[in-house]
Amino acid sequence: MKTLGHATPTSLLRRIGVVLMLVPLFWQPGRAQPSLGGYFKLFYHVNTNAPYPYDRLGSRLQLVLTQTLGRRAALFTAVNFNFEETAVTGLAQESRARGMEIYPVESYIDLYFPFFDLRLGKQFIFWGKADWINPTDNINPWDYQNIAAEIEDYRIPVMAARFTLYLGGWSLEGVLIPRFQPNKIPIEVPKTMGPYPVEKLPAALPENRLANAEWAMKLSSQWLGIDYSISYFQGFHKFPDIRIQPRLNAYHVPEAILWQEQYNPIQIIGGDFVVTQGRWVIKGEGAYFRTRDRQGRNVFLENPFIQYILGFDYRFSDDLSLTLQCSQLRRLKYDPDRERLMWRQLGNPAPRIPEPLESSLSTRLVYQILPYTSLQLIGVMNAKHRDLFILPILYHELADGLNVYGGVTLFRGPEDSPFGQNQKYSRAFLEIKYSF
Amino acid sequence: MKIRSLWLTVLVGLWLTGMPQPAAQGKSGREIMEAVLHKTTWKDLQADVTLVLQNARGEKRVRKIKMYSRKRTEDESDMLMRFLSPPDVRNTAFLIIEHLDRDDERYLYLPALRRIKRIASSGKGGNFMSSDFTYYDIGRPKLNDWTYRRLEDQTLDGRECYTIESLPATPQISKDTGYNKIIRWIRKDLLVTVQSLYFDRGDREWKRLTVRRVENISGVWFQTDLLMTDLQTGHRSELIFENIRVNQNIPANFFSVRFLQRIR
Repeated sequence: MKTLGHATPTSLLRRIGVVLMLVPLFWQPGRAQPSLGGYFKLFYHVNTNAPYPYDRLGSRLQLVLTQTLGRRAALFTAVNFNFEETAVTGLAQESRARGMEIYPVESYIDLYFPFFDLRLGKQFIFWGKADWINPTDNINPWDYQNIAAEIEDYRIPVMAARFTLYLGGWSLEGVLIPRFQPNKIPIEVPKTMGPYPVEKLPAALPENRLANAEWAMKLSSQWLGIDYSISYFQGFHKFPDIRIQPRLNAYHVPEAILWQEQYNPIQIIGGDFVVTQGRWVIKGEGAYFRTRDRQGRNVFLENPFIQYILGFDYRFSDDLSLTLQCSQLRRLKYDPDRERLMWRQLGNPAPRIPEPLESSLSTRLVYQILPYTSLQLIGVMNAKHRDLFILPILYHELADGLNVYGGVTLFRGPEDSPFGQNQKYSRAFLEIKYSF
Repeated sequence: MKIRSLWLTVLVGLWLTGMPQPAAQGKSGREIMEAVLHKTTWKDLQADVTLVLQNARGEKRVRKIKMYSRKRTEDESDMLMRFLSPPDVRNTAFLIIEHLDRDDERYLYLPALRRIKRIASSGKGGNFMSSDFTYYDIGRPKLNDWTYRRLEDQTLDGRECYTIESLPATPQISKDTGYNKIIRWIRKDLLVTVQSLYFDRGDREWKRLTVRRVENISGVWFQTDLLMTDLQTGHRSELIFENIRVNQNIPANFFSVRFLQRIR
């Protein structure tokens, strides 16, 4: 394991990324013309909770360059020029720098062959047929600190090689991700545990070597009109396990508690399906997460679990559609009483112990209010604590390519509930975007 | 912008109407409509489509689409559409695989989400892409859904036309389409509809379709410039087809999710 502070991307990956970004600028294939597009937007995100009055104010120019190279290849590069007038303040992880930042969102080359396609570079790969909650979607990490209207803000692209093989009615997709990236999660470390102060150690990430490369496979097909797939992912859990141990003095007496986030290996076997019937879309998705603590004996490691979702879309009309999904997460080989007891023995009198079974309901409503004005409402509610995440977004198209939209990311619930503990990250946002 | 479905038979419905059949001169309304819906000869085609929406205040929205279609069987077609503009929906793509014995398969690629979604039908009475065309208008009508009455022949823009009144065969057809009656003006020489008047369920004049251009491409007559006007709101929609190419031997696997998210 290597600490977060020392983990750096390999120079090889960096070089590949830079080359992919620059190739379209110099490529002169003759017939094919590069296409330059993108957007410019102004954004204002305000935190709805004192003492954090606002967290983002700025502008962004995204340039998107696409270039077809004959019939067998294409290049795609999207680069953000992001200017933040205001940095995130006061939060657990102050990740966003103030000022100008230039970074590639995606940059890849596509190669097309008669029976397979290959995509190399920094990219998004989203799997799963359910909406919003996808147990089989484990390749791109999340940025939970930055959930907003655009997916590129809250999902993190990965440098990967991805192939898709097409054989009759089957397709086999394979992905190789050389370097692990964790989710960005706001984790607050307690100042004390029992009588002891808590010292946070740098997070332990997998060592940056080929043996730790993540990979995944997905086999897809159709049967009687039902699209389905099965998938396998081998890599590292993007949520950390928290390792806690006492620091002993020279007399072997505890003097502090050491707190460390560790990212451990995981294998995920999943599957999904979707079928339509008239105005209905029925879909399901599930996965078994085989964590490092396979027998559930280590209190510091997450137990294996399964997560599954069943839901539907219903289209009332062109102007109104509704998605409703039920999901459950079931922890296996899990004894909450034993976990609670062990935490207490470590000096934490009131540990947050997850439930053996978590159920939730999620919904998405899309309503075209007026010809150029629409509302999208995403909501997730956990059954146990009735804690909520709600994301309503109102869009208005001012002119072709010019849109204004605003919304709220709202977390509500008891303080010890999954969404309730994120209440301080609730915020409203307003953006004006011009695409060209 | 919403991406709407049911384009599959757009080319065989509104603006593709077969070869001229002068023998229809003495026929009934139903026989004329049968001739109008006569099967066409193309196997596959591609076209550039422009949709212009204009409200009563004159404000315009323009959508440009690249469209590909092929007949998979006599009665089943595939269609792939890729949006070229406006820029915020560029590269959004839509695939429809039509089936006779079960629901069509419809897939939507949303580049902003980097996902392909399978979507449901939205019904034939809904508007296509916020336009004044409904899915029914742009689809291929089913002959038996309507009863036909031949009205007195008329001359339109100097062309002799049959005038056919269509009434829904069942209340459900009226409910599904939103129409209580349709009157069509069909050019006698080409058997192409050049004007239609649509009545709402209260039997009030609702919309007027004006075909502004008809072209013969590779032996097939296409309505290539259509204007639909909502007579009640003043909103209007133009549907313009350009660069139509037929029988280019588009490979069958082009109409698959594989090609939905390709850049080219």
